[in-house]
Amino acid sequence: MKVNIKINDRNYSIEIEPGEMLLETLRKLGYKGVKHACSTASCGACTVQIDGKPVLSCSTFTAAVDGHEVKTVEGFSNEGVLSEIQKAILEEGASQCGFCIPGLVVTAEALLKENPDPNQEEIIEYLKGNLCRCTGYESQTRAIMKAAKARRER
Amino acid sequence: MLNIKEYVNPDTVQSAYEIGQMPNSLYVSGGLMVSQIKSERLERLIDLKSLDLDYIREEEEYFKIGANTKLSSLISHPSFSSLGENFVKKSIKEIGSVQIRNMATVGGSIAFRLGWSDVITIFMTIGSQVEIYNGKFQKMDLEDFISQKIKGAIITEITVPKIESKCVFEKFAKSNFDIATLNLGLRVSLDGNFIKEARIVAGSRPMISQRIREVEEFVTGKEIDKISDEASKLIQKVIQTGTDLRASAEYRKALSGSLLSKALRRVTQ
Repeated sequence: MKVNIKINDRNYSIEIEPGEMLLETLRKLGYKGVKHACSTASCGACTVQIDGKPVLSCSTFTAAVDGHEVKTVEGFSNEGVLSEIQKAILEEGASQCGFCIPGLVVTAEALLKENPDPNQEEIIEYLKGNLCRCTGYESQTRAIMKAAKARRER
Repeated sequence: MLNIKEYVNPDTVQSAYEIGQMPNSLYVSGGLMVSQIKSERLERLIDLKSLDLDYIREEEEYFKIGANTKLSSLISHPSFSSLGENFVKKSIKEIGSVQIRNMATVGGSIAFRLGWSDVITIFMTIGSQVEIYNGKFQKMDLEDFISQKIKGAIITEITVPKIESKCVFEKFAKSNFDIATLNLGLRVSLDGNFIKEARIVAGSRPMISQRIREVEEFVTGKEIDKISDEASKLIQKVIQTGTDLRASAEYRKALSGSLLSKALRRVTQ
């Protein structure tokens, strides 16, 4: 079946299998920042935004996204220039193996859009669906607070 | 990937229902549950998104919620989320993560009749009704809906009364993102310190949510701050629980007493 999806501001008209998941479609199209991890809607590594809202691409049927707009982690950097959140993650040592980071960035972008000045508790609550097994969450929380400040002062 | 032959998008409830009667077909709302199905026999998915069932309408005595309404929309709706002194907002926020609440729908969360569903406990606590299409539109209490096996029906709308009682939702889970080991909803109408009416619902027992009527009757007419110990003992005695990988039946019984005590304390705060 054919679907039309806008991904990171680019329009695609693509043939998909009826039972295909968005995670598979995006990776086939080269968006490898979308990570394949648990496949059970548990870890958040596959998080993308659909119409601005963070969702899990491992559990979203591509057919259901027909006519919608998808944003992956690749859509948040600008021609190789990292976003404030990505920069802050590097500066705060919030990434070790890095596997969870793309999903974390996508979720954090949605948080800062909804709430430009989140406190620690609000960040922890919003990001509880993005699991990290390396650095833990303190440095990530710190990074998001730093990015939020940089964005407010921009 | 699900190895299916067809993904269809009907635009009326009637046509969705007709397609749904074909063998090996399944309705999709948010998609979270259906995406986890590993059935080889499944041939057809019927997306309910085009049925215009994504709304929250406020009427004089009720809220009408379209079955495709996302859990996140329940939290962001100003008047619905504040129902029961912010009961809806606080309790729905206990479910899953931001991502899950952006995907899961009210109808989908009820339709699967899952034992661990927090949504069913929450909506039963506030006394909701379900409208289904089963060849004709029918309305019934959520409690009756979950106890019946109505094959092939589509949930179209949930009706929630504008309650003025106080409600709380308690959940015990190994992490705040995990499925509940036990959940409990409490709704009370008070006359001063006395309970005029009570509703107690327990879910993830691990069986599906159920009203605990013996305890409801026991607490009615009594002073709320003097019944915690006795009510806690009684619920442990009468609640039916089971054992699964999360907890034993005995553990859940003990937990029910703790959650009820906590709920009785918090409901007046």
